[in-house]
Amino acid sequence: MRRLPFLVRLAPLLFCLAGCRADESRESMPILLCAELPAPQPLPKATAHYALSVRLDAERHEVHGRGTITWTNRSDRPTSELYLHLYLNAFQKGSRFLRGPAGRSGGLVGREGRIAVERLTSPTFGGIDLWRGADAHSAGDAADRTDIRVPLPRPVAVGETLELGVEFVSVLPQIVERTGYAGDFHLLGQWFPKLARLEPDGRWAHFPFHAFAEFYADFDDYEIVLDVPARHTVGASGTLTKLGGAEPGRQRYLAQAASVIDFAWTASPELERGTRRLGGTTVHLLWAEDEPRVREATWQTLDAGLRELGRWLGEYPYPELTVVIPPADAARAGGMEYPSFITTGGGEMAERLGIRAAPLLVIHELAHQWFQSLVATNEVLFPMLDEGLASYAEWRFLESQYGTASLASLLGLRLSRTAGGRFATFYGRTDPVRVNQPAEDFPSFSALAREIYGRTPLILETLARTHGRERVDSAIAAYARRGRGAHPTPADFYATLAEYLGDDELPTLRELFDEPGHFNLRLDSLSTRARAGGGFESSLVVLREGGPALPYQVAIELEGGQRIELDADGKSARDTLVFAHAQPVARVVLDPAERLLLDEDPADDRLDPKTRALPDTLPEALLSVVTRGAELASFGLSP
Amino acid sequence: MTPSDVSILARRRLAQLLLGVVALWLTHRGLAAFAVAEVRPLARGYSDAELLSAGGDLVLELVRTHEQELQAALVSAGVVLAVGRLLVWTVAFFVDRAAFELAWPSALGGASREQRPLHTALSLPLVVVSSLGSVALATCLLLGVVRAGRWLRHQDSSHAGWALGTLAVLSVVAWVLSEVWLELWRLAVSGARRRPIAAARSAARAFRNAWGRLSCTRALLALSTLGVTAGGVLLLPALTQEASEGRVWATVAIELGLLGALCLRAAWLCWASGHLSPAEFSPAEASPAEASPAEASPAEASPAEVSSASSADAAKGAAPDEPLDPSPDPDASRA
Repeated sequence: MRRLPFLVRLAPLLFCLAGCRADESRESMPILLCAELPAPQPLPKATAHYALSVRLDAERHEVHGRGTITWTNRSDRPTSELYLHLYLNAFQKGSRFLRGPAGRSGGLVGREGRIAVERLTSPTFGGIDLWRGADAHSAGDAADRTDIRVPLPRPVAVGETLELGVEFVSVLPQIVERTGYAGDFHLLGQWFPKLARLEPDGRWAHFPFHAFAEFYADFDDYEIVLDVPARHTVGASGTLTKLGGAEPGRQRYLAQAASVIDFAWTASPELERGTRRLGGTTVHLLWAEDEPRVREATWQTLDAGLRELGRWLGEYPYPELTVVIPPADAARAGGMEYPSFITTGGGEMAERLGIRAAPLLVIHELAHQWFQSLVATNEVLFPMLDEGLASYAEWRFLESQYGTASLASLLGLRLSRTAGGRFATFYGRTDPVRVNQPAEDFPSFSALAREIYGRTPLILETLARTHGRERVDSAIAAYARRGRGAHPTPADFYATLAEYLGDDELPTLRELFDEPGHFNLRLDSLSTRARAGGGFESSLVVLREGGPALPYQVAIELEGGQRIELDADGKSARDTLVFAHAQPVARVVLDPAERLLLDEDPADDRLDPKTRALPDTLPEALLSVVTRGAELASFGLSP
Repeated sequence: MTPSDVSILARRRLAQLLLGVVALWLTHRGLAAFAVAEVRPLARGYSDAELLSAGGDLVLELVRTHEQELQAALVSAGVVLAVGRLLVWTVAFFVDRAAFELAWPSALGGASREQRPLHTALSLPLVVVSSLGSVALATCLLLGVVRAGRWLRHQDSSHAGWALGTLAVLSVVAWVLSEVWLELWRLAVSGARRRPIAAARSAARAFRNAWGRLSCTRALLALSTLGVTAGGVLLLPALTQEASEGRVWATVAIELGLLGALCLRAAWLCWASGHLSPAEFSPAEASPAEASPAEASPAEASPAEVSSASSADAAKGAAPDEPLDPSPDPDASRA
């Protein structure tokens, strides 16, 4: 955060420098797929069925719920315990969430949140209250109450189904980490007692709610009756049907979602609703502010996003999608993903200026419908498979739609998503850390953001530029289709990538994702001697610091305008490239096509053979912009 | 002084004023070149084609890898531009003087040349300090509005927008009024060679008589300056166009815009000078050389007449009834 003011001060300059010359070769990068891709897997049979009836007390910002959870042991072993995630308790003082490094939203401000289970019974066990025997706190963490073990009177056999009666009260916090209330606006995420996932080997995948990650669950069915004040507009995961029989001044809805890993909903009298049919999906857009540009950008992105991501990653399988643009005082609720329910944001001014804040947010959250809602990876252990792949899908979509102007297009100045992402990844990065590691192991959220949101897409984009875009796009497509309804791991991801890039690339992939990332390729020296028959012969030394081995190109610019291009496989940490040429060398440029986005210092990629340092060239037009900018500043200081 | 002499004098002073405008323009250019000198080596090794390729990849990387140097260069540029105001105000002092002399070409026709350096030496710092004062006032008003905006945002009041808007408008009005008065005072000091207190009285009279017209015109001038600046900024991207024709047009447009705005400012100074009625100047301050009856016009111009009189009128011989004091200091009186 300390660095932000300098960036803000620099923003006008960056926009001036961002360039406006069209580069046709990079103008549009459509998603390229090979002819034969696997069909998306069907979604699995539900492990649990939640039939809950909940009532929103909009004055006290509380939810009172009761109902049944029907759960089947689909593992290979009997289990004698259950684990329930009570994630609203994360917003109480002392929780793991609040003790750890601050997450995206910077921590709790205002009222705390909590969830209290009042009763947990099962007819299987004679109706005794199982909650009385539940642990008082998360396993091994006395201050945290987000991960509770419930011992069972007897083991539940493999394939046996358990019916649980549950009653609970959820007290919402003021908006934190995209959950809670602000004024009349309520966003209910992680709001009910949710069963952890029982792995096939009989281990419970349970964990306290950490600020960096939250999702890992079975595919379940939800039938939730929502009882809300009549003037509230409601949006929810799945499909929503109005019910009769509500008390005066109230309204009841039935929300049904099948084969989803979570359920979230919103209620607010401020929200307005628009519904459109986009392809095969009914999309509900809920908004509070009068921001027509944001709304239009959201609709356009949803339309193109469902179509393009569907073509790439397999069709969106749910009948409906609800998208919420929270009111301004609940902006922290924006930018969150749940199955068939996302919250976005943006800003009218950003749209007016040509900054693609709304499309970026919408497509990122929409991409989560695949990367974690359908391909239900463990975000806690493998955040790169969740946020990392969603970010890459976001980059690819934006660049396929807007080309080099995929991040901003202001008065003809264009900034690409890749350029912005690369800048954000390496800016302020001091200690390289692994991309593939548990979320909790990242030292800070900014470190996680750099590696997961930035470096993961950079790695994939580098592979696309060095190994072929169609290969990488197709590999991602195959991974998403095969992984639908499953819980793949990084090993599955690497295997799919290697299938399309070549099996011999597997070590490179492991090094890229599993080792602390440090990669710098630089020009070291150039020595030239005259040849007997005329002309010259030169030896160029290129050094690689860190890894992995990536193929690269060098452009030799000769006096007189000729150009020689040399290719190297990059396997050696010190390459000596020998070449003959008729004219003296004017300049050497490493990676002229900017394929190696992981290269940490492009400043050492240029060499003047005479000075053996940076060439004596200057971007005169660019400096003219800077000088005239200063001139205008000097003039404008005296209005 | 014959009408023909006055006409020659007016042309000479018009030339001086234009020279002053060009000098002011060159000052801005020179300052800019000096301010960005440290940025140049940072971009060494790259070509326009590389850094300006759409998408901004390399330029962002350049910013990242040279962040510290760039930050230092930007701080230096800011310091140069800020300290460079002293130079700008110094040049503006001579532009003020030339504008006044064009408005009243015969008023100072015989000013003794040996007194000018002394007057300049004494009045220049005063004028520069007053310019600094006007910048300080504008900054205070701006900060006040920003702080009030922050405070109002936390009040959760439905009238916060109106209150902030009203405060902003009042601040702009306050700035314009103070700027008009200060400009009149500067013209009286630098152009009419008045002593500070006497200049303040002259400025106050002129302000009292025509504050509405002067303020509106000054506000329009400020708008034109900001408009030219904003227009120039919008044209900056065009400087990177591939076609040289586009680059040339953008350059010419920016520079002509600046020159045009500076000419407008010079015209404003001439016009505002016309409101400083020489009839109000104290005879005691007049230098003997200037007070020669042969050079004084028999007609006494009222402030209203003077304010509507153009420099052309002045050139036709509508010289002030009483000559102007060529020097604001006691030395001049002794002379």
